[in-house]
Amino acid sequence: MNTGFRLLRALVSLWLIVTLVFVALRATGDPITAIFDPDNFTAEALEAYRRQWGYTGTVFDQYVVYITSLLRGDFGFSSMGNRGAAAVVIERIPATLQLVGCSAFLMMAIGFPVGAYAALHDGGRIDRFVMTFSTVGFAVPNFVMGLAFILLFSVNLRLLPSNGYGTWQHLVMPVLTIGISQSAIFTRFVRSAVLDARNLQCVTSATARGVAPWEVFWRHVVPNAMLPLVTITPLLVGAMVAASAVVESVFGWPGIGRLIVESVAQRDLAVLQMIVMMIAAVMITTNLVVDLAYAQLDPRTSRARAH
Amino acid sequence: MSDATSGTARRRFLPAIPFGVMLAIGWIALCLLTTIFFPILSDLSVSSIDLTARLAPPVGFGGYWSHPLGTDDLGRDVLARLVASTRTSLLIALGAVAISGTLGTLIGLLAAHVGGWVDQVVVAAVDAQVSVPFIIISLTLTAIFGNSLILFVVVLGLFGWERYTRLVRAMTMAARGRGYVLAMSTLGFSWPRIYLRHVLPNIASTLLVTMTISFPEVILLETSLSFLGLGIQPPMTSLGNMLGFGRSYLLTGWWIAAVPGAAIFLCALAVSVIGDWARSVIGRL
Repeated sequence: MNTGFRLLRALVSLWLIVTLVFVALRATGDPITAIFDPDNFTAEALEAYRRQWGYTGTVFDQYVVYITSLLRGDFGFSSMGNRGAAAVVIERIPATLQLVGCSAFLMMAIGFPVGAYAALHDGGRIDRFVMTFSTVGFAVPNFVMGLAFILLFSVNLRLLPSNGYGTWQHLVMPVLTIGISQSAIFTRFVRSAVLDARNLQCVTSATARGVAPWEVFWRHVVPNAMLPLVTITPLLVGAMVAASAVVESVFGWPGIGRLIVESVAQRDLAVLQMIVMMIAAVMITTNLVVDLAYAQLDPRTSRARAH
Repeated sequence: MSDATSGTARRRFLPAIPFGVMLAIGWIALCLLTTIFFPILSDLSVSSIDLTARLAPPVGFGGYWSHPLGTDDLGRDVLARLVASTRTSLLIALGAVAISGTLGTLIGLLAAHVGGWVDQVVVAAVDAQVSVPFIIISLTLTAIFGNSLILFVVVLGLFGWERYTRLVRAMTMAARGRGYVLAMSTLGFSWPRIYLRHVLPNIASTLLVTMTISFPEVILLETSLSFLGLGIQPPMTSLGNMLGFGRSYLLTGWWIAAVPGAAIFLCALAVSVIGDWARSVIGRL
């Protein structure tokens, strides 16, 4: 598969998702009567809203309007914010990026050293402890961990604010929550990747040649372990998105995650569909980049295809 | 055959159950037994209100045995609510896993049997499902179709279908090349009969392990959605929405949130310990 084909496939996926969102939203009946109780509004008022939000004409007309306005960058009107959905969504992006970026850093700061150490001392006491910790960490839902942090740091110790955004103190608990809960899974991935890499022939042969252990680790084990880890990046991005939806709600963090929950609760479909498309675009781009990067990082894949 | 010999024979086939797994099985059994027998043994009910004992702490933190795990802001017994919530959460997770297991298996069989473009579509759908976080899909469906119990179970029942589809598809394709399937189809048995009576029993253990691994994830998904107020709605109660309400009382009654939080953690941990163990047993066979 060449780059052009991959790009085309990514675009088709994106178009499919956009269309699916449209079908799902319109298949469920009149979006206007879903938001406004027809008994409490006059027909003219409903008609006015319908025109304002682009819900007029046949379904196909609406689809054409929908696609053309999407291409123009118009994502509809947020009933909750009473302004363009794009503006509502875009102003939430920095907060989420800040949270997800710091959490990803913490996740890797825990996952890489701990996972690698466990794999190098495979079967030992530390390894068993790490695996147990990882199983336990997986079973703690992140909202439970978040509430436990609030109970500890805000209620009992009175060190950190339980809610809000702005200072570094506000960032501590949400980042700890997402970072620790994701590291439970990430550590396992790192451990098994390093274990697999350790069993490669090049490692055995380098050790047999008398190469120093640290050099074997950095020159042979680490590069080989990175390959499987690159392929799970999309999975991690998805997990981060899911985690931020819950954790942002726990800590009142004004990001995309909390906006999803708000838009679902308020049935603000314009905002919701824009977020869904944005997440889909991020996931598709991540997959594309990983696909392309993998071919670059591992020459075997492209050579195998040439046969 | 004497008891002793059958004992050793059994031990040879079933590996010894580790202590941690025993604890996990014990905890799940305790949960199931309590949800069945608690309403018979105790007169505490989910909605009865004891106004003189509002926000009573649990035993050991200054509380009394009349409300072992304390009461909430309305004076409702936390233990009684915990039992009802655990029942709801476990039943919903069980239903959801059963739905997704059946659905995924059927789609996988269909893809393997028909092949061609149907198979291609199924593979593409599986890939698409894997790449989108499921919580986003379930939130979108909730927003579109509104919030009802049936819909909620159906939405959760979509979780993880692609895992079963992938497994069943691959294993059925492999089985179609095996002698026993060839023999049966040559003998003129119908394909549904071959699949249901001969192919599925052969892959059932793998499917069961996949279900055990999905189960804690469904519990976490259900509790997350209910916690956000987008899952189980009052007057019904689930572990997630109990925790969601308890969250407002962290200052005055930490136990209202801590009790269901601990229950979610223990249930999810117990099932995933059992699942990990089952997977390693299957892997050894």
